[in-house]
Amino acid sequence: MESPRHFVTVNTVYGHKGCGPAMNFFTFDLRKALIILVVVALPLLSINMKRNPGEDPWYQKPFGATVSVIQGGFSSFTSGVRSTTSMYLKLIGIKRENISLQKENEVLRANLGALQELKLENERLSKLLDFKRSTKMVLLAAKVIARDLSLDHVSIRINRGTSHGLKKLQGVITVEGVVGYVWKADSDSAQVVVVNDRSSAIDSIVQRTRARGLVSGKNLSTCRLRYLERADDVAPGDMIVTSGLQGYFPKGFPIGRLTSVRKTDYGISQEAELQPVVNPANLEEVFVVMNSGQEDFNDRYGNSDFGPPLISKTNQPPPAEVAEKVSDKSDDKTLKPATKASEKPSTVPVDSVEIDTNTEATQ
Amino acid sequence: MKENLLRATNLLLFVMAAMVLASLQTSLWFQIFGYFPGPALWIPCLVYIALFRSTLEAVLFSYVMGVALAAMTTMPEGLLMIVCLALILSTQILKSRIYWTSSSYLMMVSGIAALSFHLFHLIASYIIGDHPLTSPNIMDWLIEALLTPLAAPPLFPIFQWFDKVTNREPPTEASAQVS
Repeated sequence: MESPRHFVTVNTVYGHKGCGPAMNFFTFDLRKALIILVVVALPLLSINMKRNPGEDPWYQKPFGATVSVIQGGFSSFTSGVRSTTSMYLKLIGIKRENISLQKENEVLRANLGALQELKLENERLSKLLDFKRSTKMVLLAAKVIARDLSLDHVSIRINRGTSHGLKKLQGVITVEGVVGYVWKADSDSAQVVVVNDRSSAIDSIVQRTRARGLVSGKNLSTCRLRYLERADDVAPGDMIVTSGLQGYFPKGFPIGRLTSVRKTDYGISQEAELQPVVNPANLEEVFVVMNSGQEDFNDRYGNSDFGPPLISKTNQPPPAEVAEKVSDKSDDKTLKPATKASEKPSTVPVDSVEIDTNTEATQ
Repeated sequence: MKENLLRATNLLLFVMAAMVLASLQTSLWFQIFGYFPGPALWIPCLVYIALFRSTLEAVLFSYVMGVALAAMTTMPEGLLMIVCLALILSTQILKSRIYWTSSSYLMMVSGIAALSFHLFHLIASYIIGDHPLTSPNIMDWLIEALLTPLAAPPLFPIFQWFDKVTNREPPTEASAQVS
């Protein structure tokens, strides 16, 4: 059976629910009216309900939770976008800052390199000055400006010439030992034949036994000691020093250390090879001996704080057994000042020195 | 008269170039690379003269070069002149056998000449020198011989320009010619 429809009919001209081109205002559905009433009443009820402070009503909780999730999501998204944007903006700044820092770093590195170079130059010049002050010799400082044209010859060109008082055959030394002698002197520069050159010849003596010989070059790292008498007592490790007889060099100034001695079955002499104390490849500043002043370095080794080191830093020291052999002999004290000299701090300011290898070096 | 003046100017230009190049080699290279063997920059100059001049002119140039370069070495002047002469003549002999006018030829001959210079020096030091070369540094020779040809290509147009400004016919690029 069809349930009866509860229509309250005020005007039954049309008699149907909500249909017809002109629905009667007073015709309405009761159920719908109740629903509308409830819907309208709910907010009023909600407004008038007594709420506990600090506690949301039960029906708001799911909405609150949903809202918090959605809002949290949006918030995370916006903060993410914001942080990405700000990071990008910062990156632009960082890139700029990085470029500027890199440039600054390059400048600082260059300055550091220049300072280190100056420090080394200062040390070298201080060493030269110490040497110059402690000797009676008249020395002229010079700077090495070029090397030999041929690979088979070992010579250097210095920035001092006849206009500075240079003459042919004047000795050229460093603090470590003999470099060579002036070969050709022009007005503002001079060619110096290095002791390693095969055309060089320097009168020398074996420091330990005073045996005489002539040092001449062989190649860039080796020299020969020739015309030693067959009976002369020479052994590897012996220090070869200048004889001072030529007058170009002071007496007893180191040339090199013997590395081998060769005595043939026949003949009147023996030949030895030596490693020079000065490595021509490392030369930058040298001294020209203008006047040797009869200086004798043999006397100075034992009782002075200063003396040329017998073993150059640039050259290898002799083998241990050779060093022991040398230290057993009477001249072993020659090694002492070298150690002291190397320990001595360089305190002399370069600006005040008379060492003037060139204008750039002193300024 | 004018032709002789131009010829002398040309010779002078090449001598000056050789001296500048030799100074570059002994001073600038030395300041930067120390004792590491560098290119013999003056060799292409000598080789160019040997290739593109008459024998008489080339011989004259070798003597002038010997005197000029002796200021930069302890090698005796006479020995240097003889070595330069030997280089000039050997280059001309090589030219008579195989020759093409281009910078690559100058490169090749410069490399050979850089090595030959030391070989001639070695031989000459034994024959006429007071101090024979007993311990040759062959590795250094080879490095120098390898580096020297690299200097030839940039120098070739400069040498051509020298010829042009002194009214000499500069060598032109041409195909290979083996005789």
